[in-house]
Amino acid sequence: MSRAWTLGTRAVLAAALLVVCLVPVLFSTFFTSAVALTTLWLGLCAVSLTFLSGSGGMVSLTQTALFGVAGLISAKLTVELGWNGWTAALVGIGAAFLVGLVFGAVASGSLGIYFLMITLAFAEITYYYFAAVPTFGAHEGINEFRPPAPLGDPVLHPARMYYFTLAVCALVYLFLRYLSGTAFGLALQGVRDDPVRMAARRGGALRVVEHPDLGGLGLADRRHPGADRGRDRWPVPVGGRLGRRVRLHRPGHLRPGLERPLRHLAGGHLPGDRAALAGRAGRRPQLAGRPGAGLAGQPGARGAEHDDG
Amino acid sequence: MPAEQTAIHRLAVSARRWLAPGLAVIVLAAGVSGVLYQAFGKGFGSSGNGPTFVLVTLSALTLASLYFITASGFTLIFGLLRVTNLAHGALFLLGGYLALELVSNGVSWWLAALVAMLATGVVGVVMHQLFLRWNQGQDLRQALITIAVGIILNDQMLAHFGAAPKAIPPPAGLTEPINLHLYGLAFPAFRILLILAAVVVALLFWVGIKRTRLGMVVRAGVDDTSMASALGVNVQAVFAGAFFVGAALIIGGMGSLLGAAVGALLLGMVDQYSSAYLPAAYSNLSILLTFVLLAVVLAVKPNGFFGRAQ
Repeated sequence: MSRAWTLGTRAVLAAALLVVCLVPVLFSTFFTSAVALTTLWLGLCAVSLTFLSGSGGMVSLTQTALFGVAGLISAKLTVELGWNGWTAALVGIGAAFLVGLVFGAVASGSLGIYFLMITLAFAEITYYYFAAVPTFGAHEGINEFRPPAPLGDPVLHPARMYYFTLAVCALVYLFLRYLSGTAFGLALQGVRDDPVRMAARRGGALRVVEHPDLGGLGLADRRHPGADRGRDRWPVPVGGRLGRRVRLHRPGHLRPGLERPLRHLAGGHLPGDRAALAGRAGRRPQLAGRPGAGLAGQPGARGAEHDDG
Repeated sequence: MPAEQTAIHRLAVSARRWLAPGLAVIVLAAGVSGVLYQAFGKGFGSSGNGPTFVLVTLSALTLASLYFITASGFTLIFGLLRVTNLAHGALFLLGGYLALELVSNGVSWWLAALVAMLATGVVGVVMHQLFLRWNQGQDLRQALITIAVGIILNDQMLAHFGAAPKAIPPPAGLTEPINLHLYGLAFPAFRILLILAAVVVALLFWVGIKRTRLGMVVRAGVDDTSMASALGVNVQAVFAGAFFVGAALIIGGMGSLLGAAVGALLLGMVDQYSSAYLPAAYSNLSILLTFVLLAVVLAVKPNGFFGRAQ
């Protein structure tokens, strides 16, 4: 990509961001409440799915159901039991978290299309549960649900609610960016790229090591005996003492998916000592895109894995 | 202590391995004994709940047949072509509405059924050619595409035909109930025909896939598309044909006919028994229980009953 192209893209993105920030000023009340607010919270829901499928390779159809759990429980607590709005929202989110934990634990044995099916079943269970149980209003739902007082009326005066949701979106974005660079995030990407090999590694910690075969970096199990030599060093552990020992070790040529998380780990910049690395290894740096071979294989490599089914 | 840790670890692993199947067996046993107690707790005579049990069981079998006929098309498309056609139910519904329109315009029942089958098959082929052919092998992408197609079809039909359930009268000659010679009960002839149709579909599918040349070509195309193409088989045509049959049979353990049969039976039984025997306050949870069944089966056997690991 040329420099002009990059700058142009950034300028367009900055302008779009500015418009997003000024929606309540630039557009009508109806647009702000009915279109922009809806876009924001649907976007929040979508980003949970994108994070799961992008980082973990899990296409979960339960996400909107979890939103529903949080919403219905908060509504029940505020409208019928007169709770404070913020407390009710926190309890609702906590309940959705617990339900998500149970669903995730049950679905954890499934992969690919079967994961999609089991999460679809969870979504249907949640839907029919709330549609059948009179406690939550069944098909009528719970009406007269208002957000906490400081956020104002989301229909007549949506500006405050809009900026609050926008701030939540920004926080979620920053959190997910941070998360994908942590040991947990790296391990998640390992599971996405090769669940079978990941499952075979237990215990130990994650370590970023020089990878001679790839002319770059790989991740290795700290305790894995073959981690410091041979081709078998990319595997990443799951569980155990994960997260204690992720450290950057001899950065060099990075494979595309790894680069950003590693930059986060290294505090924003990498020494990028590719030539020295190549010299020491006694060979030219190779392109490191062996499909399916690595932790952060090409984003498209997943499709290839399904061909052998 | 490392040794202790290993022992605890082993215990934890074996507990995890047996926990889910154990729970599933306990729930199944509780369900079966609950149903049997409600049915025969007052003895086997006609004064007890025996007659109701027979009728509910026959209804469950009818529902299971309907599920099986749907699932056999689905399993043909999924198991052989590796396409998870989540719009399958929508195609089923479309076939039903087409037949209803034809019958209410005076077309004979059998002709209407045939035309609806063919039309649904054509819609299935168009869907395959337009949306699924170019991304063969990417099953998650295909699943999401077919979900979208299914939602669009369902909503269009909801807008056009309304939300009230409609019934197609059974064909002439099958409207009379048949005497079962058991507790003096009678059961609609059309429903018994449906159960027989499911058995015939199962046999035809099994013979077609396992015993005929066409079935062999389909299986070869699935196992190795490029190899089958190299041997002169027009794989795309075969796949499109199979998609047609699968969608037309929408009148459709993923990938396994036996899995479809067992799954259909379980679903039909759970649905009917739970709506008949659960306490009245909970009987509207029967549809929820069918999805619980799906989730439990997938949790215990992540590839379904008879599915192959990919």
